[in-house]
Amino acid sequence: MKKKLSIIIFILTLCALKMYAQEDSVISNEVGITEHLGSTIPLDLKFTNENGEPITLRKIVDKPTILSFVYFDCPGLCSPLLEGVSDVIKKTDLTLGKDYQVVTVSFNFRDTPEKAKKKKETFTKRYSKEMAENWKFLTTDSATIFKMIGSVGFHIKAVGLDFVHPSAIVIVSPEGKITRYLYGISFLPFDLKMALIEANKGQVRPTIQRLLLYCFSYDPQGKRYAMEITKLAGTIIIFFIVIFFLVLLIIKRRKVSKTIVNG
Amino acid sequence: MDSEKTQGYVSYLEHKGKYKGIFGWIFSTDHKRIGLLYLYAIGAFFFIGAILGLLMRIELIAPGETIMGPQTYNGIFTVHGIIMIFMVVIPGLSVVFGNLFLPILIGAKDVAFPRLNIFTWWIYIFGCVLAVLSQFLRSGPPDTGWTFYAPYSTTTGTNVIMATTAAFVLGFSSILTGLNFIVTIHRLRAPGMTFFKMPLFPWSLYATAWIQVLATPIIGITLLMLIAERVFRIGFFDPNLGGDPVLFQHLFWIYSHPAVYIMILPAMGVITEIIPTFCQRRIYGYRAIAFSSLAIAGVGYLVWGHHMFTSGMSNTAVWVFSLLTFLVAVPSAIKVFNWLATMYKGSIDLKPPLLYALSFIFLFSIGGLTGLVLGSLATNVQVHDTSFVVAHFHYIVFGGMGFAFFSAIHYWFPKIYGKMYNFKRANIAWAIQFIGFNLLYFPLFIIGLQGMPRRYYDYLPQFQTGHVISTIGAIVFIFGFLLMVYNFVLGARKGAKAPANPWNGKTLEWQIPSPPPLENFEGEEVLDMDPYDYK
Repeated sequence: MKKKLSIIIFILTLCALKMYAQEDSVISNEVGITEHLGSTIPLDLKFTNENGEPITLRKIVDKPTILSFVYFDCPGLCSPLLEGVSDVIKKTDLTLGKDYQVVTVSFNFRDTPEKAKKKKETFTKRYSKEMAENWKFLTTDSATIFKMIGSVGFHIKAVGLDFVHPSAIVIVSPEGKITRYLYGISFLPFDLKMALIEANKGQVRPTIQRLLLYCFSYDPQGKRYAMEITKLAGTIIIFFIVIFFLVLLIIKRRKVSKTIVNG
Repeated sequence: MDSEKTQGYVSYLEHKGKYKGIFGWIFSTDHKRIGLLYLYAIGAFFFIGAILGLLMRIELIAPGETIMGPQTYNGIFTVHGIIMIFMVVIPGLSVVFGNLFLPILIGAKDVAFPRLNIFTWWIYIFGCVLAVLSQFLRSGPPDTGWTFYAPYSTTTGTNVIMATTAAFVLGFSSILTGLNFIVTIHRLRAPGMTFFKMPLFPWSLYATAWIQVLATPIIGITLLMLIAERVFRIGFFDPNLGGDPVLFQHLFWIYSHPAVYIMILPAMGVITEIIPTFCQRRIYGYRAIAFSSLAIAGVGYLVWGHHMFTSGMSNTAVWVFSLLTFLVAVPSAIKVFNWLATMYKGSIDLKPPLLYALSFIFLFSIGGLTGLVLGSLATNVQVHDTSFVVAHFHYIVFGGMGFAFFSAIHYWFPKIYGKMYNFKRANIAWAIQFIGFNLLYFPLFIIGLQGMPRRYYDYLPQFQTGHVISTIGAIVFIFGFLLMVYNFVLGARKGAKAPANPWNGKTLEWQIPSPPPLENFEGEEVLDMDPYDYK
């Protein structure tokens, strides 16, 4: 028993050291994200879904899609990241399956569809079956993984059996174009909604979504969506001034000629 | 009521309304009384601003600390700027002579919203009180310059919030006046007076009013953002909070550059009235002048970036702004050439109003041409933030708008008070002012080119000659100014009675008695007249 305990402690210590190393490596720029906004992800790469069936991204991506990259034995960031995604799905007023979908790709070639299935059960047990259907967990071989994460600009690093990797989700348009990166392990429902609306730009959308897109824009420094206060104020001012001018032009002058005589 | 018997009517100066004494003025809804209220307030603030300017000039008479330290100097140039820009020149001609004469010139009894009109005066006074308070409260007068550039304005410990609130409040007064004038011009023109039969001063007021309505809300919002940043630490402009200081400059100049046209357009309008009258000639190119007012208002809205050539804009933005700046010189030049063409073969009568009007053209042309030096990219980098800029905008704002203002008082004084001032004294005052003005500002061009930075309380000894001449000019000017005011006071009190039309003008205000009756016109008639019908 004691032996086991000491092994666990040893592993934990290693983990701690590893996390330290991870921080270091982020600073050294080996690990991180180079944004590839506007480029298209390779849709024809072959993956295996959580049921063991072969599938390509072309078959899956037909609506705005959230891509997340993890590995299933991950002791660090991955579970909190998936937890964050799971949370924001619950909170946002867009419907998983109808408005968007989620694809989680493992970047560990040792991961199997069985592990994927277990992960999926963990994170989708809060949802109905139909919704859960639209969160797919994919695994694949190392060459495909290399192409895939390269195309979205993720730089990861294998350390022993584990990986040092950045934490972000990638929003992809129905055509497979990368439209936004959201960083962190938890996401604001508003940011997610805006990102998904943005990804859907080409499609027919409700007016309210178009208005939202007009009023808010992504602030790359703050890494979140910010209200365009100057744009909004300008629009409001010009709107009222145009109304004022039209009223002056269209509504006729009151005829004062009758009172003139008495004037 | 002696004058009632002799004149057969009650003038607006003598009319007894609901209130007595001073309340008959400050609660009056008569556009002429409101115009005079503005005139007195603006005159008082001009005097304060001028004294502050004089103090700065005295400080600069010798290198090193002369009469004040650097922080005091910073406070004084800020206050001088705030008072002169927001309280004197922006309302300036528009609220004083617009209120006094716009309704008369278009044959109306009053502006469209008389109560709103007196309300704007009250807002104006409230804004002025806030601005003055900001000087005396504990944290000390703001030291940011009248431009309130962020991020310094979001971090300095001085009374920036109070001063910006004042500017915000004054902005409301400006917007409401603009709104009032637009509606007045659209709705209250006498029957028969079409847009193209309007005199050109109302045309310039019309263009001005649109700028006021369109541009002033932007400075309001910008100042609110600044206050929000200071109070709630919301990051709009301060890079430490994730903001962008260049954004502030953009927003600030989107208003403050058109504001230059808010002050200069009515000035041009006044000159356009005075020149035909004193040359007894039809104005040359009526439509060209009318449309050039609109063109200045329109293009002037799009040139703000030329204040920021060195602030870090994209190269494309920089040359586009430079191009637009050159374009805005075109309508201004149209006006100048049309004034000169009007004078050609006219019977020129060099009365004080025309003297001021001619010096307006002279000074404004110097200001305008040096403006092109600032508008071209290469030369701008050389003279940016030097006293060259100070000289340029004083030639435009003071030599232009200020002299037009003096011209307008001399022109309409007999109509406003029904009395005449002494011409000889007025001519002497003009000469002193003209000489003083050029002594005051011309040396600043030269030392600016040599590298004298603006806003410094100290300088290298090589600039001293220029500064000494400039300070002497300031003192000379103040004497000319005081003589002019003395002449007016004397004229209003003891001057000879003025006839209804002392200059043989053709516009409507000269067809009614001096001073005008309460509602301007007896009845209303259908007008079929030409405002510049000189034989």
